[in-house]
Amino acid sequence: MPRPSESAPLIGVIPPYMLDRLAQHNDARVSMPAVKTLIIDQQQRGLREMAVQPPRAKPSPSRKNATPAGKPRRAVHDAANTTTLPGKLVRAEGRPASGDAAVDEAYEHLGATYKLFWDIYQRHSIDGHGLPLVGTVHYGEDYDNAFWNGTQMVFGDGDGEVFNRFTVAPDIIGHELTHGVIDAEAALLYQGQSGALNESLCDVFGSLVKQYALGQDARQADWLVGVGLFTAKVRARALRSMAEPGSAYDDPVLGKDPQPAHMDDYVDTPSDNGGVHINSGIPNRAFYLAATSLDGPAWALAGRVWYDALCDERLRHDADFQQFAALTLQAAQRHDAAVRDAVAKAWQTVGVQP
Amino acid sequence: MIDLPSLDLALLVRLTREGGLAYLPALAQPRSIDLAACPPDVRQEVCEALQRAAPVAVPRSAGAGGDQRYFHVEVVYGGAEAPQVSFDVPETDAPDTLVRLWKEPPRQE
Repeated sequence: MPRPSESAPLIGVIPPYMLDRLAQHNDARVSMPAVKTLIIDQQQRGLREMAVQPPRAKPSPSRKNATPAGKPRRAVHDAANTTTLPGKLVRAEGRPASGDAAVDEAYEHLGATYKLFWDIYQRHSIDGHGLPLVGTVHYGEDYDNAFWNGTQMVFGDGDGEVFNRFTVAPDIIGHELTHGVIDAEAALLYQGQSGALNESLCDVFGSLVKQYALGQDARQADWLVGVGLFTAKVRARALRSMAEPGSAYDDPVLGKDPQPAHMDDYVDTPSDNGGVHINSGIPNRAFYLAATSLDGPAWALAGRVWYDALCDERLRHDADFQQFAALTLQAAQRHDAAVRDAVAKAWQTVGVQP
Repeated sequence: MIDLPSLDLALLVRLTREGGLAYLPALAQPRSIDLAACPPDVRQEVCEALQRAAPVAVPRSAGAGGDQRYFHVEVVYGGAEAPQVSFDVPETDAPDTLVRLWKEPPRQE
């Protein structure tokens, strides 16, 4: 089934950045037509997206390839610095360590991600039916990214100048796998607020993978995403800070962390698919606030509420922060007053009114 | 695949890399190549890269999910009436010539 975003491609003759620039022009004769075009484009996009709410992908379990519940089935491949996927299988489930740090980190962190979702949320892999966890390391040459391509995870080695290898951080592997979980649930559109929500949920569960593996309570955790990814040559603590969005890095090579922590500072931009990695700071901070205002580990209460909202059938693929927040408040009704207050106050503090 | 119009009258090519695990402002700065002022060999290199990218390009990548990256290409033509062209190329399909344009933008003096 095509992803919902692919079913409604946006075709524009004038690039959005040009419209943005024209819309800011001092001369109203120039700016007004651009403003109107932007509004029409947004309305049309909104109508297209509202019109097509895809059914949730619920693949039936394959008996032939079924993995027993509670057991991951990992397969780590080596692309040998090419871009051919999946590459050569170098570590299958149950095999001993390979001695290659990237291979063994990918294997361990895939296992840690499976363990969080199974132990805490009783979810049997990405799809809930034991889908094998496939990863490829040593992708490309000096490749400085990690991604989920709809069927597997891919990790670059980094360039050694700015980035280290992308398998080094367990929360990054948790982040990428959560993209698969979201695809199997609400399939949140990767654009604008729904895209930022998608990114935030990946950071939330990626962070919980790390905290669960380390046995940390919410107040012990560093709430940084991607510690270790940057080399010592750049001034950067991590990719993102969930506790203090906007404070993860400030360096001439990288620029300054652009994440806002409150809706007042929401960034309207055509870049980054409408700011999906920028505005995710707002729901990230809401989760951090909810989790740290409660005693104990973040995965137990705040994590359970966020997971239940993610799996709620009412979560639309074009959901905004407000709609997701409302679902977390409803999920919190199954808990005591402390949890309900924590969730409500967290969203209020970041300026989202459910 | 897109139908790439003739690049004979193109004045400017702007290349942006979108997506990825994070948005890092200084690393995301677009590359602009002034086709009107650059040496002929650079113009040829840029035009060849765009022509090789056209078969794998899409009019608009509506957000490649899961931190996948893609290149966003804009071509500016001369004259107020002339159309502007923009298209996207998924990084995993991008020809090496386009990737090289991003990594090592040509000198334009």
